[in-house]
Amino acid sequence: MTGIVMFVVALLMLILGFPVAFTFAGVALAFGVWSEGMELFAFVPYRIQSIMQNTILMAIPLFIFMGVVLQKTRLAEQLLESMAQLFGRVSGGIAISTILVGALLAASTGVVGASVVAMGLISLPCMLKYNYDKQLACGTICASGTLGQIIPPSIILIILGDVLGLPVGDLFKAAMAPGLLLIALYIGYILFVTLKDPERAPPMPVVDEPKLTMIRKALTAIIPPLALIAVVLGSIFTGIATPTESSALGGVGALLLALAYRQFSFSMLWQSAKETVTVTAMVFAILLGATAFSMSFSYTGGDMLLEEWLLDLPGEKWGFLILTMLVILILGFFIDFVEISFIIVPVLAPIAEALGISMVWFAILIAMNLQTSFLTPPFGFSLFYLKGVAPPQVRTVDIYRGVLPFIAIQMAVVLALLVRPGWFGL
Amino acid sequence: MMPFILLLDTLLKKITQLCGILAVVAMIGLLFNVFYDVVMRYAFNDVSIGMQELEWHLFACVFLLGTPYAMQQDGHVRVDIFYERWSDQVKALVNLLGAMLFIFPFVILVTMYGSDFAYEAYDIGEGSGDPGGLPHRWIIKSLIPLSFALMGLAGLGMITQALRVLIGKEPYPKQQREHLS
Repeated sequence: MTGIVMFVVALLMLILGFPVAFTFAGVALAFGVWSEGMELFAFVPYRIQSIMQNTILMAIPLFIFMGVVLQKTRLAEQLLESMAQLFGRVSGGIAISTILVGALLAASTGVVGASVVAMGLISLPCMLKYNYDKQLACGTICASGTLGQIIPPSIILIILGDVLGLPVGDLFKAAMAPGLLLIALYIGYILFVTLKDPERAPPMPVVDEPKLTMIRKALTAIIPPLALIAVVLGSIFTGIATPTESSALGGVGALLLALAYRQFSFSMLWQSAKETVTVTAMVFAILLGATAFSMSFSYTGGDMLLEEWLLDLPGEKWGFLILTMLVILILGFFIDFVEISFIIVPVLAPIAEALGISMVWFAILIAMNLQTSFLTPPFGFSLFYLKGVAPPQVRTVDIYRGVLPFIAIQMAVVLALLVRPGWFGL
Repeated sequence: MMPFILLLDTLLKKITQLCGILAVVAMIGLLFNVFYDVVMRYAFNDVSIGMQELEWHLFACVFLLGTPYAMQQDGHVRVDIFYERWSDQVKALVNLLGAMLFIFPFVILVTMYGSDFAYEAYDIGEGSGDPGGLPHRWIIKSLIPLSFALMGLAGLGMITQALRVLIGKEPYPKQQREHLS
């Protein structure tokens, strides 16, 4: 019972706003020492050493670095502009470009905050300038930004791979189908809206550049980053390189792209590495805290008790899946996916396994579910990010209303994934 | 009292910023180290155990030295539904108590056990088990207690900053974190 009480206390303490990593560590320490004595924590250095030697987790800073560099080369701006021009007189052209660029950006960074902020800064002013409906514009940006959760190489899939003991490449592969389906449905929705009500997404005024130059401009902006991502993912999927190896290729490739686009400088390299260090530290500090936490939790018998409860749920695996998905959805409103993956998922994993649930399927469900969670008002993270960079005439309500249709799409896909995993090859 | 706090605050900031610089250097090193190993392996079919072990040594430096640095930068995730709206005084109180109750016991304990852990490696002259691997394993193992001691210093820095806000009525600097989710 101590373990369960500790869990609840830790969650309550989080609300105070002290950094999550240390809140978990501190609470775990208090309960652990009180019930088992100090020696329990003599193992912490051994656990830390295994994190140090974990080559899968090494891919995290390298992929973050790749994303940060790509962001600093201002590729996204160029991409969005030239792509939107290609759509020319098609209604909803900028919105569709936003989804596509967002997906590409998401694939390159795997970091939701970064892509929502980037798209909010680049694409929102553009859409507002051409008299897009504010709600549609906001919904599109938030939705395309959260794609980074599911489209590989997403950080969350790397973490889940480590926590669940699954090959990261398998998770990346499994995430492709639902990710692409989401992109298709988002675009389908925008087309549907523009068909019904063209006023909500008017086409851009025609530029009198010859079509050929426009296409060439668009291609020079699209092909290099697309090629980089194709190489990175391709080398993982074909099994030529491990995710960590391809993340280093991606990082160096991103630097080469920056050179090619004349955006490279040593201060840019330094700044990118510095941002990478901060984000990496944030992820791994939580892992350190979670390490202490999970030790206390299992030594005080928390996991046994939880397992007993969850195995007793009616409906066997369905009861378990529905409950855990709901819990993760709600927790996702308040805490980051890093905490959820490092603290909550390890507790659930053995139970899922005992119930005969396919682990890859479980991982993809969790990732999709968290993505939904980050999109859902009133607490979804991506909504806050967009509000943070949106011009004042965009009200919070616009953002909330705008994401609703996208949440419906998202929920539909999660449901399909839950009920008919076969459709996605899972 | 106040001048002493200010001095300590500046000193602690300098130390954690040095950690940051080292972590950034390790990050750039890690990128090229892994890249070099990949190229050597696929292009020249040549694997160096030492270089491959260096990868995780650098990786460890990135997150173990990055963590105290991120603490100083206020880069760690907070659940900020309420925190964001609180006055600077309340924020200072949260950070003051949090550092004392959550950070100090944790880092002291791990620094203590981590020192034993590193000393043991030194004592038995532990090196890599693989031929061509890196010797002197105790150096990288010492990074664990070192990192936690530095986290302790960064925690102390949180306290001095909180005191500056509480006593000196200074405003809290704006959070400059890069958010992941």
